[in-house]
Formats: sequence, structure tokens, C-alpha cells
Amino acid sequence: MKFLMVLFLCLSCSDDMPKISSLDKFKTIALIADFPEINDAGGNVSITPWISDPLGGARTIDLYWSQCPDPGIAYGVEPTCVGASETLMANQALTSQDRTEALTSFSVAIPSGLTSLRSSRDQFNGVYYLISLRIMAGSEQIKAYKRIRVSTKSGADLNTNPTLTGLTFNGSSPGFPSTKMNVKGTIGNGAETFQYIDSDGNNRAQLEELSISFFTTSGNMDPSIVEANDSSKIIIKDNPSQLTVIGVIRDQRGGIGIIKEEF
Amino acid sequence: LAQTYQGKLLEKGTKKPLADINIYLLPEKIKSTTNKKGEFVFPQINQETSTIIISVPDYQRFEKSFSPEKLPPVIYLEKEFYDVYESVVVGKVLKRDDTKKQMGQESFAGSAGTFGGDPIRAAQNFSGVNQSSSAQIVIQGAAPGDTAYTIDGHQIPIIFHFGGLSSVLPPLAVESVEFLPAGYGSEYSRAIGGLIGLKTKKPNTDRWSGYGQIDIFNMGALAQGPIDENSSLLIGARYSYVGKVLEKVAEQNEDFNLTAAPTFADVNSTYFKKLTDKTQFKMASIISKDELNLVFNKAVNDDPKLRGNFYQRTEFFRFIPQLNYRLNEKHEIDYSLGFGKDAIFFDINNQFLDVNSWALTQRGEWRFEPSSWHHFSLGLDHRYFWYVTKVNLPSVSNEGGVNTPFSVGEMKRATFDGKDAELGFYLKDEIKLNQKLFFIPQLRLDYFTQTQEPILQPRVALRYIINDSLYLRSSGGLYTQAPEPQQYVRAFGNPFIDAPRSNHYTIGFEKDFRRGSQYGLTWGGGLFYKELDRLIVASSALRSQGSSFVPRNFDNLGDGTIRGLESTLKYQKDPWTLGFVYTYLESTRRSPGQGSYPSEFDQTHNLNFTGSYRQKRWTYSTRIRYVTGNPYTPIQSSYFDGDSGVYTPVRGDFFSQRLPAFFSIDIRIDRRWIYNEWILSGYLDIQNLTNSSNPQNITFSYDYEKKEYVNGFPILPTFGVKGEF
Repeated sequence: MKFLMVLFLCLSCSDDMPKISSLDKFKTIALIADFPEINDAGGNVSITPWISDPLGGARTIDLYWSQCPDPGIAYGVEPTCVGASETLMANQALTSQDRTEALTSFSVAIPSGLTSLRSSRDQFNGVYYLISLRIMAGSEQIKAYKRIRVSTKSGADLNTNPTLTGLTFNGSSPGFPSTKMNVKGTIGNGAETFQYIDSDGNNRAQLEELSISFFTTSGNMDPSIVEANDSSKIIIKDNPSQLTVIGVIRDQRGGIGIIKEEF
Repeated sequence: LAQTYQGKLLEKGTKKPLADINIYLLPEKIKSTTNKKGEFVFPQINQETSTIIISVPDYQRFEKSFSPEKLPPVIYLEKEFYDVYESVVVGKVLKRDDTKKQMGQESFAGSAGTFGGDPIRAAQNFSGVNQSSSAQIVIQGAAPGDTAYTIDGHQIPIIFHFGGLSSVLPPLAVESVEFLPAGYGSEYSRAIGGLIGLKTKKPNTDRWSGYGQIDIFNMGALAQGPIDENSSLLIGARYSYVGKVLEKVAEQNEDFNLTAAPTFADVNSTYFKKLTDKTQFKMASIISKDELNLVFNKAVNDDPKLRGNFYQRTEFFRFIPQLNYRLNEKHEIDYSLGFGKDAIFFDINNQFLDVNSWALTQRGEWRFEPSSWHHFSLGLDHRYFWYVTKVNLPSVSNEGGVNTPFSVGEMKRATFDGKDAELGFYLKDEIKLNQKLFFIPQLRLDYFTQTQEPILQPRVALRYIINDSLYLRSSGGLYTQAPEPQQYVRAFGNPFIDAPRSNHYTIGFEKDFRRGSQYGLTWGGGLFYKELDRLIVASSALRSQGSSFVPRNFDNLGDGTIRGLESTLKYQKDPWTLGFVYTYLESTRRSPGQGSYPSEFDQTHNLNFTGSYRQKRWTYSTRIRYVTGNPYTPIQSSYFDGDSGVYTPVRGDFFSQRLPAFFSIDIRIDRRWIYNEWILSGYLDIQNLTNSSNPQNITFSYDYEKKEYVNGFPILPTFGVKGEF
């Protein structure tokens, strides 16, 4: 009921809060793991951070990361690895004109046996392994995390990343988009059907629900996030000479794909 | 020529027969007295013109001349003042439970800021009731879940309809609203904060009456009257179209579409029958439904799981048969059952909670007065419920009052059914030790199948009468309540969780300056202190289950204290009624890793002034409130969640900052037009006259770097009309 009251009282809330889809400051866009889910036998996972720093020039970016089993983020615990040492990837730089691109990937060794003391349900559904990041640019710091699902599944049963092969603007690929065009992602690898054991112990099959988050270097996207087959409207401001639009597809299970279109 | 004049004397507007009233006829100088039905007769009238004179206290003097052929068959006598409803006269008697605060129809019906005299909204003026914009009542700084709601003593799931505008029973169906804060007696339990209950009204037995009412939020009708000499019936219904107003507002909002505006409806009835001289039967029933459906065009808080279709429905019904048997002057027995169903359904984009629960409650009490100095009560208070719950929701934290985003939580899907029982037995002994001192030892035993533990709760109350106008009171003891379902069911909670407990201590006084008069000043106040332990907090730890480990989800590792001071001043002298209520509160909690912090509902100062002025057919009333702002947890920073694309907040010290204070002036103007056989009344109720912003919550930007207050209701005029017969 509190949720409802806030909702209706918020009819009068202002609309001038910063927009998540605006690439207007130093922020993380995506953290892509080549394997969003791995078998409990352990292995290496490569993480690729996508960062935007439009106002930073080509300043140096330092990335610190640490790893540990999920301390309980869903329970409100801060997503850090207390006591774990941090690894530094220093002197990264965003060289593209829009200052929005992938940093150098880094590899994380996931230990084996993480599910060994857990229930058979947890072993099948998987438990999370946390990679916590601090990304520094000048005096600015952003914090992010990625959770790798570790389960007893193997082979084709493990989750893989969805992909986007392109973006369309009002159904085509214009030379330069105009404001209020409908932007839609073209899906490559689509939704997978996955198995999980519910809390009653029943084995269930479910189709992934894909969503796409959009970002733009000018104005914002409305809405910022849509179901994978829906479109978002680009609201362009200040007649920019250059424009970047990015789509990030997510399967809500850690699988991520990204596409960047520059104009 | 002599003729006989037979007539009837009724109260104007209500048609209530006026009995034992003398009617004089001039110039004959003869008198007739009305019988129970208001009938009178003058056997012989000789004059060409007769003057009828009726003079009764509290009524306007009637003096009119008539020719013999125009003598009225019915005389309507107009009252000086019409209360909105008929007053229930409360004698100056000591209550069974000194902590109980009670308000009758005559008090809540005309209160300002109550959307038409709602009893629960009026009860929010009691000392110790937190200011809140939600549909839940918070008592003395406890949590909303620590309050139990009852109708005729039987627990119900909600007391307010959507948004906290109207309680689930219409005002005229309610005899009184009862509020049991810290230190309440052993008749009740399962609420470490307190209870708030509605007592249904016995239907009128003298005549049929009722009303039809319409205002900008809802419309309703109610009728009551005798069926035969020994039985009577009250039946009412309401339908709210408050959502239509919101629908209009929401049309201009691009973020969501209201596909079905929030509505509520309720139907209630009370049947009363006097079975024998010693036995009475009453059946109260209520059916209530709240419903809302909307579509989020955009993800709420940019959380991909909070978008699309949103539907919410809360329904319940109760049938509450009640039997009272007074064997003789020394023995009396009350027995009642409550049978019904609660259904709660919540769905957002196929993430849902679907609860269907049947409830059977049982209360019985035997009261025995072996002597004038000794009263004894023995009772039972059971609740059985069997349920089927389907859940498909992420498990997320609300620690520090800050929600972890839905998308960050782990989805849990489960169907669970079960049967649980909450058994309660109590005894209460009231011993008059001497002319001044009453000692009231009490014992309560509760057993919850959810936690499989019997909890013995000794309680005690003392009353010391200093003189006719002043007494001191003190009470205290142990209180407990069962954990909430999501805290003990295996899929979401911890099946080994214990019941939270609280020790209450109170001391206070009641001073009556009226010296036997109906009018004057009364003053009551006191101190209360509560120790809370075994409070349930979220836990990320693991527990062993066989040879493996599973999440604990919840633990009993929280505790806290609540201390406060209350003062209530009431002054009544026609045409004025004034009330001044103040509560000082310090409510703190402790949880692992956080140390001690103010509770979410710690409102240090709560000041409430009410006043009304009557002038013939007009009544003017006001309510002025000042309340310290609620504490909230600041957000230190946030983490980008690479999996969902949302930001996860990092909580600062729990509840270490406060919202701005709440200030509101409400006014209400009532006007009545009295016709012979009915009364038309209209009211204008303006809430938040000064249009104070009164922030109730905070919203944040997507990365929690910017925040914005969510304000309370702006200036909100409501008006309505009612026709009573």
C-alpha cells in the first residue's frame, strides 16, 4: 500500500531528474561477461566494462576489481568483497570521439565447489559469485558489480549472452536520426528457454524476458528501457553534429549484448 | 360542538416518537401526555380556536393556534441542536481497561479532516497514534505490522480502504471506535504495538431510519429499524469512485495509464435479537473489496521488472455472530465467532502474490462478580486460518526503509498451503483492595502453531482513586505477536523464527474538572515505556538444512525501546468543544551491524488541536496538526548492477535524517436543513488549508545522486450531502 501511496502522491513529482539514458556524465553502461553462467567446476570468465565519460576528455581511467561469493546483495548487503584484495587495471583511456566504449577486458578465475554445501535446488539454480568494481577518473569514482551464476548445469544448459545486430530508426537506418524517431533493436541471439527448480521443488521451464536499455549522447530516450520487441523514442536536444545511440540487451539472468551506432 | 382531538407528537426531521411529553391546550387549560408511540388525545374540545403549547427542554417551544377542523394529526417538534447522529450517552463509569481510549458516534461524526466523519480517521486524533498518509495505523512508534485491527473484537486484515480515506465500515454502522495502546488488558493480544477496533452499532429498535449520502469520493446508503418487538436490522452499502478523480489526474501523466480506477465497495449489516430477558444475539457482517489496475508505460525507477500491467485487489468478508447471556447479577457470558475469507492479489508484469485465506475466530468470556470488591473474567481468544498462497516475486531487502531494486533480487516462485492456529486464553481478576485501590492481575497464554511455542504473558494493572475527580492508573506486562507469513514460510522466510515480544509499562492519571456536570474540562495523561525484543530482521546468513546450507532470510536479532509522554485535554461547554492532544515519543531500534537508531516511525512531537462550534443548524470544526517529520535513511552512494542495469543503493546510517515537519489545518462546515420527515445536511471539509507540502517520502534519481520529496495531499476540499429520514 505504501508503494501505491507513493505512486499516486508522485503524480505531482517533477520530471527534471537526471535521465539514465543520457550519456551526460561519467557512468557505466554495461558489464559483459563472456560466460554469464558457469559450471561449479570453476573456470575463467572475461569481463568487459562499457564506460562513458563524455566530459572527461581522454583522461586516464583506473579500474580496481575484487571477487568473492555474493555477500547477500538482495538482503541489502553492500556489493563489496570485504577483506579481498583489489586488482588494478591502470591507465585505461576512452579514445573514441564520444568517449563511450569498452575498456580492456579482464579475466576472473571463478573457484570450484561454490555450491557444494548448498541445497540441491541452489546447486541446480545456481549461486552468485561477485565481481565488485571501482572505476576512477580524476577525482570521480563510480562503483559497479557483476554477478556470475555458478551452478551444476553444463553445456548448452548454461546461460549465454543475447545479442543485438543493429538498431533501426522508424524501421530503417537513416543517415542521421531526427528527434522523436522510434528506435528499436534488431535481435540476433534471442530469448532462451531455461530450467529452474522453484521453491516447491518443481522443475520448471521458462522463457527469458529480454529487455533493451537505450542510451544517447544527446537528449534522452523515452522510455529508457523497453521489452526487446518494443521501441523507444529518441528525444534529441541542441541539434548535435554527432550522435551516438547505444542499445544494451539483457536477459535478466546476467546475459548481456550491446550495439553502438554512431552518426 | 365538542369534538375529540387525537394526534401524534414526533421529533421534527427524525420522526422519533416523543413519549411522556405534556401537551397543553388553551383556552381550555387542559393537558394530555404522550404515550410511548408519541400519541396523545384530548377527549373534548369546544373552542373555535385552540392554541397548542408544548415546552420541552432541548426542543424549540411549540405554540400555534388552530381552528378545530385544522388541528394537525401530527405535530413535529424541532430540536434546538441536531447532532449528526444520535448520541450514545456514556455514563461516568470506570472502564474495565483504563488504557482504552474510546470515541462514540457523536464525537467522530462531525470531526474535521475525516472525510465525512470517518471513525478511524477521527481516531487518528488520539494521543499515541502516529501521523501517516498510508492506510495503516501506527501506534506509539511501533511498526505498522504491530497493530491489529478488529470488528467486535475479531481480527480483520485491513481497517482502511485504499489510500486511508475511509474505514471499512460506514460511520452510522459504528457505535464506537476503540483504541488499545501500551499496557492494554489480557482480553487481547497478538499486537505488540496495540489494537484499533470498531464496535458495531445495535440497530434502532424504535423506528425505521436511515440515510443516503453522496460526496466527491463515494456514495452510500444505510437503513435500520425494528423487524418485530424483539429484533432489529441495520443494512448499508457504499461504493467509492475516488479513482475516477485520480483517473482524470492520471490522464495527463505519461508514465502510466489507469485501466481500472481504484475503487472500493463495502456492504455491511447488523442483526439484533433479544432472545430472552437474559439472552441477546447480534450478527454483524461485512463484505469489503478494493481494486486497482493500471499499466506502467515506463519502468518505475528504471527497473525493468517494474513495468507493464499492475493489478491489486484486496477483498475480505466476515460474519460475526455474538451471543450475550446474563445468567444473574453475578454471572455473564459473551461468546462470538468470526468466520470469513481474506483474498489479496497483487501482480506486476506476472510477478505476483496471490493469498486466499479462510479465517475462523472465536472469542468467549465468562465474567463473574463474587462480591462487590471482586470481579473475575476468564476468556478464550482463538484464531484459526487455512490458506493457499501463490508467490512469484523477487526476494529483496527493505532494510533501513530503502528498497533494494526488484531486479537485483532473486526470483522465488512457490505455492504453499497450510493451516495455522493462534490460541489464546486469558484471565483477569479485578480486586478492590480498599475504597481507593484496585489491583488487577492478569494472565494471558498464547500459542502459535507458526512458531510452536506457548508464551505466557503476565500483565497487571493498578488503579488508585484519589478522589471523585482524580485517579491514577498503571499497567504493564508482556505482549507478543506471531511472525508475518513471509517471515516463517519455508520458501521465503525462516521456519525456525520466534515470535517478537514486547514489555509494556505505563503510568498515568485522569482528572475530571467537571464536578458532575456534563460540561467542563477533563485532563488525562501519562508515560509509557516499551522494550521490544526478538524483532525480526532480514538476514543474509546461512543455516544448515540436513547436510547443506540454505539462506536464513530472517532472524530474531532486532530489539528496541519506545518511550513517550501523552497528554489529552478536553473542554466542552455549549456551543464549544475543544481538544488538545500531545504525544512526545522516542522510538529506537537496534539491529546487527547498525547499532541503535531511530525507528522509521519515531515522531518526536505530535500535536493535535481540535475544536468545534455549534450555532443552531451550523457546525464549524477544525483540526490543526503539527508532527515531527519521519526519519529516513540517507543514501551514501550506489553501485551499478551490471546484470539488470539498475543502481543498488548503499544505505547510510539507518534513519539518521528526517523529513520536514508535517503541518496541516483542516476545517469543516456542516449545515442542516430540518424538514418534518427528513433532514438534509451538507458539509464542506477542507484538508490542508495552508497547502503545506508535507513531504511523506523521498524519490531518488536513477543513481541516487539527486533526491526529491514526495509531498502529501495538497489542499483538498471535499463536500457532500446527506439525506436522513
